[in-house]
Amino acid sequence: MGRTSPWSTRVTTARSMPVVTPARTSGDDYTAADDRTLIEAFRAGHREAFDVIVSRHQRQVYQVCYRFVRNHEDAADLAQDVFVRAFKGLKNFKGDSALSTWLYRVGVNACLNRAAVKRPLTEPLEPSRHVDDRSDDPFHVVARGEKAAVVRRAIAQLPPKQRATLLLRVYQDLSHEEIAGILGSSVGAVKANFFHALGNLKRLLQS
Amino acid sequence: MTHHLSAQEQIEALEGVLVAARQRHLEGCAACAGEAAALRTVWGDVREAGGIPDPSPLFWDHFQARVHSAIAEDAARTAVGSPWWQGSVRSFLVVGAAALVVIAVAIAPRVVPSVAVPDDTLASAASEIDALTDQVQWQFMVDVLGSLETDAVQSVLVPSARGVDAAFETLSGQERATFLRLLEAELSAGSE
Repeated sequence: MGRTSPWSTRVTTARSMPVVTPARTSGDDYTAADDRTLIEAFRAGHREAFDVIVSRHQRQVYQVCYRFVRNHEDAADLAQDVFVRAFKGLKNFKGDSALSTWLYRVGVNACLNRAAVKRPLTEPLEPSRHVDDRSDDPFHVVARGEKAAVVRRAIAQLPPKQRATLLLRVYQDLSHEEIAGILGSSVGAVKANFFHALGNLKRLLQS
Repeated sequence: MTHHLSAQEQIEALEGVLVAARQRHLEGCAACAGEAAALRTVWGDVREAGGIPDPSPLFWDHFQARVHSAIAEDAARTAVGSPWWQGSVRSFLVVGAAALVVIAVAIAPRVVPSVAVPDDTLASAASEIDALTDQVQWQFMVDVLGSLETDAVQSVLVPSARGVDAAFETLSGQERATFLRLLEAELSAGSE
């Protein structure tokens, strides 16, 4: 890494946090390392490895959070919180699942916890911002944008686990097994949740 | 006629992984086919509504630093410990609980009602006392009390005024003088 690492100042670590030695920037380039290598490096005290983890997964984590809360400010706060939790929890990460799946789990839990204390926001942005409008005429762009906004509002009304299942399956393209691992459910329960989510959406959209 | 598709099977049909036998049912059952078509329509609507506005590139430039700051703040907060009021509340609760225990112990003998003790409880207590006779001192007491008649034990533990007089009569002159000297000393000490 060519730039000065922001980790060069040692941060006082709490009892539950990994003991991290001062950063060693010279010659440590983790940008090409796989996730497992990054985790081991981080556990060994190389905070630059954590920086790579953040930069590699930040978009996915942000997108999951955004799909839950539908606004940038809350999604950014939640994504930040996910990586703070990851920083503290990576020492306990057993490697049973992919790092991305584990981060999804942390993110979904953060979103579900937030949903428990705060009513999800309805569509705050103008609908046309969400659609690909490169090749359609304005009328269809508006119509499609409005329909998408209606769908998103309906998704926001789903029960939290149904919503999480739907978002992870449709938008993040995770398998039922991965979703089951994230939500702590069985594969059968995930499929049932997915079915009921679609059924509820159908009812909501018809009404 | 076979059963209609379950919720799981409908999802498997939607994703194209339904087993062949159930796929044949789906193709021949209007109800299941209609349900599957409706789910497919909703799924398509959901996919089309999935666009997310990409944050400003500046956001990603600053996100790393934002995470660093949050981690540092979290570490500092944890190192400092709980807020002062949490410690105070905890201390208050501990002291309060201790005070309650002390008060409960202090008033317990006064509030415990006298009750008739059942025979089986007495028998149980007697057996427990028997178990203590292994101890030498207790055995000595048992031997002493066991050698006395019931009336004699009562005269020792619950002396009557006439019994005291009778006992005084049995003392010699020297013993009486010693007794009086000790009694006067006790009385003078008590009046100080």
